[in-house]
Amino acid sequence: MKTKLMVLMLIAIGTIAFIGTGADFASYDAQRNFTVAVVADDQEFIDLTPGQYYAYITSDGVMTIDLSTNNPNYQNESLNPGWWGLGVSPDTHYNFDNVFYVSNGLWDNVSIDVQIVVSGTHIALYTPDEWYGHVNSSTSSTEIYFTVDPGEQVGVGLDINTTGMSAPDSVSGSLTINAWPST
Amino acid sequence: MGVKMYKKGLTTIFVIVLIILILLTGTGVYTQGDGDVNLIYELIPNSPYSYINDSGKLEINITPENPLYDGGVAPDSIHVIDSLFSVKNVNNSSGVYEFTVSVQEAGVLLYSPGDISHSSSNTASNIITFILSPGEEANIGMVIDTSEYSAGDLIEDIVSISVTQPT
Repeated sequence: MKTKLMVLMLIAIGTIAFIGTGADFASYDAQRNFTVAVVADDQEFIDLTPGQYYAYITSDGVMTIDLSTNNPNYQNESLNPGWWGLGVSPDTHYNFDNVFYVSNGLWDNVSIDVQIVVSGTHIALYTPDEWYGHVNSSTSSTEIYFTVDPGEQVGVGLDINTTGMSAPDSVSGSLTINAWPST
Repeated sequence: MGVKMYKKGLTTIFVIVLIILILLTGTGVYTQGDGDVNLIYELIPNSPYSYINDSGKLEINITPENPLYDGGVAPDSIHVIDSLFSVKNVNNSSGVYEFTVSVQEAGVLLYSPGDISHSSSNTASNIITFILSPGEEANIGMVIDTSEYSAGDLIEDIVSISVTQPT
């Protein structure tokens, strides 16, 4: 009986050792789905939403600021029934509060710090809670920083200075918006 | 007769203990988790943009179809998502494995602190590799560049995960 038990024990040890290494490498390749919707700027996690008729969303979904007759809102009877104003005049200083809004719709529920840099001349930006005091048209800058809390939005004003320009000159530029989680 | 009965009982107990040991050993080589798991690794969603679907598989879904959220990414933008999901070596044996994670779609890149060559969003690649010892976990980040896309487009891709034994 002792011998039988010894044999059984040896078999057991052998079996356990064998099964213990039974998870030795096999193929565990996997493929998982990944889907991303490309949506318009005003439906993004970090929305860019027009605040005045001078800003609008193009058919490609990109927010554009256009103070000219090319702006589709210019020819919109309900928004501009008199088809007023063709643009800005020379040697003047315009400021438009809240031309567009930046909002924080991130799913992560975190505050974000935002940097907006404007290229081109004669254009500057401002917002009331700007980090470095670029809070109104008098203190506007080509580079502004601000924080947007989850679910909140911040309005950005546009300053256009046409000093030294004459009709039919035009002002053009682009906005680069960077955002990252607040530290 | 009494001694024989005792010996038979001892043998039976031994066989039962043996079966239990085999069962324990057989299931003891990996740890079951809440994620998308097999014998070697577990795929763990780390952000709202990924989740375990009804089939028990990891799914990355940044669309209004995501069961928890609504939204997407804008055209002509670059989004960086740190730690979209993670890969964990759940093999409790001495298995050290090399993992390869890849995507194919233009505009989608991966990075992971575990891959020295592609450890940040600045060095992201469409294929990353890293080695994990048992219990170790690597975060996977993703860069989505929509400069070639317009609103209404859908970026659909497959994230492939493969495992090899390091040479």
